[in-house]
Amino acid sequence: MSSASANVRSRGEKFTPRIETKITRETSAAHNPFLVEQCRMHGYDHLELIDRCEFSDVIFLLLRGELPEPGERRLFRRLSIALINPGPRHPATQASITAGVGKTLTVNVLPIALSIFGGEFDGAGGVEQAMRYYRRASRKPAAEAAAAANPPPGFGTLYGDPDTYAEKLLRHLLQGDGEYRILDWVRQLHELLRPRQLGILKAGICAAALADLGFQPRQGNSLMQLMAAPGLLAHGLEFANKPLTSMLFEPDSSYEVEYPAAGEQAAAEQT
Amino acid sequence: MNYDSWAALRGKIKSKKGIWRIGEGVESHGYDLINDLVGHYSFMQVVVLNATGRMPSRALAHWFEAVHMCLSWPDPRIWCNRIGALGGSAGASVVAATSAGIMATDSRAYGIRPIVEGMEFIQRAQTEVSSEGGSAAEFVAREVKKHNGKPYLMGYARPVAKGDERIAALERVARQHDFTRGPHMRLAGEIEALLSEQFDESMNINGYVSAFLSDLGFSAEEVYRIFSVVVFSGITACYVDSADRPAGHFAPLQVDDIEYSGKEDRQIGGK
Repeated sequence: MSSASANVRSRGEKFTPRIETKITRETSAAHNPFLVEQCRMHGYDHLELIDRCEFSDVIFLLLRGELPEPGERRLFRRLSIALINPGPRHPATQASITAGVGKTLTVNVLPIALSIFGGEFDGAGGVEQAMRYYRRASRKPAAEAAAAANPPPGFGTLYGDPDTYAEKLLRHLLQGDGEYRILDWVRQLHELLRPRQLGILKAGICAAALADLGFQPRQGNSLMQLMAAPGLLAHGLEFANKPLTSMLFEPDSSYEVEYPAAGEQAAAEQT
Repeated sequence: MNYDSWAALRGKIKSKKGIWRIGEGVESHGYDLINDLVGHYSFMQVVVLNATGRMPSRALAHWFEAVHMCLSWPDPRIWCNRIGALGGSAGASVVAATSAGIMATDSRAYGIRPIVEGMEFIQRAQTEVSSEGGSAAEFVAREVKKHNGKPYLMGYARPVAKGDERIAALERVARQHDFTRGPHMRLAGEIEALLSEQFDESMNINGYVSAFLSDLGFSAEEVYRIFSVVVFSGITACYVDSADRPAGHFAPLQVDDIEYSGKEDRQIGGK
């Protein structure tokens, strides 16, 4: 190896020889140390979870470390369904459909869709920031947050106007039993901002509910991805057996190319 | 209407990049891709063209290619490479595994985002030091103070090891093509000298690349786009190594190799 490599020194950091987890405890089979005899999650036997829990309960358990209380269970389940289907026009669903109709390996369809859903336009990209903000700002009256010049995280417009369906989802989630402090504070903020043509976004709803449920901000973006996964996947797989012509492919007459000015191009070539 | 800008694009595509005109040819940034670019320009020149809209010189493209080589190590202990190797071991496709490894480098700890922050850092440093009365020593002192006395300056120090053999290699390529040191690179060297004296830390490849490209007028966002798959080849190498072995044979773990530190065994309902 070169003398340059000889000048590089290890920092001597101690890397763990074993992975540590608080989530899963496996017990090995007697005849083969790689096989599992029993599996527990946060202390609960996996087989008991199969018999006695809903899917959403076990997601809650895995990420929060405890099974949900009845009120938490209801809100988490309702939030999961509220966000389950971004709809066929969403860029992430369009990506899913494009992957499906393009005959991409089906195991790639969901990762493709979720990657695009990680963006901030009607997607999951802003949940973490909104959670951090709501946890802090909701200690004070919503009117103080409404007075800020810039829209608070999780608020804004979709296609130029407040998102009507997000507004409907927010109100629907707040119906029925249960008191959700941050979600209600966000509703108050929404009402105060509405005259300024700003409204709650779906990422804001997700952030407020997850904050009420005690999730950490760092879990927020990923949880919204997880909740949207079924709808994204369903649309992609719907197209997996359809011909390429069943997806958009705009004709040349609808395709406009506008190159930057020639001067800009020429100057760049001097680089 | 507030949605006019969206409505105007229904069913249409606008592009500043190019178009495939069936039966006529493929345009890329005003070039005829098949006749003007293929065989006349290098692949890396077209990579930079696609990412920035500007065609770099062949010499600069060669330097960019060298950076890709410097970040494509076939060692599966490197985090992105490990994901590729795990993909091979798990029987995932090479596309899925390489893409997954690339996504992992969208990280603040290593990979591509530190180069973005490195660009922002050295450009801010240059602005502050070139202002009246500014000096590299004062700048370094301020930055170290911001980080509670630690030398956490973007582009200096690196995980796992001290020193960076890749800088000498890239300098060699730069000299081959008669690239000279500009103000950002000179300042980067001054900062390195100060950190070396005070903290025994040196510049890393990120700091060198950031200073080099800042001297050539690139923005942080442009560099992020050029280097979006900078590590891909090392990931593929690690994928291939494990994919060509029997399934599950990359770094296999026995049940007892995991240390559980969570809740004790319990039953649903507290029994």
